[in-house]
Amino acid sequence: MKKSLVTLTLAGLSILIVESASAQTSATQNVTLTVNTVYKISTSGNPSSMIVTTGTAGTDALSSVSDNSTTYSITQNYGNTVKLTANLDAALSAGYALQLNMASSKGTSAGTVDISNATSGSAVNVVTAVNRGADAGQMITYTFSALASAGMLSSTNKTVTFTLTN
Amino acid sequence: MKTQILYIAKKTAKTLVAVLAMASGLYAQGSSTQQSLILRVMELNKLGLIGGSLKLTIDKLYADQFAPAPVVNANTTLLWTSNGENKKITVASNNNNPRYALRVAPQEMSPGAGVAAPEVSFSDNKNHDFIVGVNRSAGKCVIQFTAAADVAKGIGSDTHVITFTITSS
Repeated sequence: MKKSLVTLTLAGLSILIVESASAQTSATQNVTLTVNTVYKISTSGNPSSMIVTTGTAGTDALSSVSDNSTTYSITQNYGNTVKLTANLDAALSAGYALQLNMASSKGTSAGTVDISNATSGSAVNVVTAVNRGADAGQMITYTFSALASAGMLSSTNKTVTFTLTN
Repeated sequence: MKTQILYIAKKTAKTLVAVLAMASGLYAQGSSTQQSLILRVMELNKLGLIGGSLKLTIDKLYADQFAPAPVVNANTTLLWTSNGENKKITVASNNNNPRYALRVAPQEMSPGAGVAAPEVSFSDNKNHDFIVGVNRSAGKCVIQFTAAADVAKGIGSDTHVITFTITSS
């Protein structure tokens, strides 16, 4: 009797153990994926020096010089309100002008924009309504001009900052 | 065994979440970039002439004298542009011993583009001041030539090649 009772108990326990084992055949996980806003802009390098060397007798505006040897590339996943702005580290003196044209196949280029007085607090739009995606190898064109009445300009370094923003 | 399986599952989940978080962090960078430019304006001095060659013919007498009347020509224009300081424009003839008198002076000058020098009478082939005080300006003036002949000099002709030069004062 005792033996039967023990056996029965053992069997019951076995069943209990077996049942417990069968209750853990699957497990679940919660995995959260997040894609943050991505902005990336890069340029192919620096343009060549722009040097004004000639003009026309009787005319104050000297012959301007241009450079289109560099390109920019952007990637963004935010939306079509993204825009590209440009500014100089410091404004040019009166009588000198720097214009910028940024080509674009993903947004609307502002065409040729005067950035002579665009500093960090007054950056100008150069491309607007940039659609999601990548835009690679788009041309950057600079045009530098000067007035004779402004005088000569010794070799001067300027930094142009391009910023993607929404 | 089951504990081991559970342990591996938990560790994999943590790793997966960590990888996703890291990826997001990487793509948050790079929203601006810069280019360096070098700008320069060299010294520039330019002269130009409108009107070309001239022919002055003395063939009339003064109304009340038996002397040839001078002839004046103001049909040519000189233009200049300079972004330099303290410049002047000189004039010279290649005829250093002319038979007849030829004089030249600037007229109707652009305001602020320089100061007219006194009329020049060509008697040598040296440079003479024509316009002074040219500083970072663009301007123009009428070139007025006056030809005169003394009756004692008879009839004939002189040839002048006139050269204007912009130079430092």
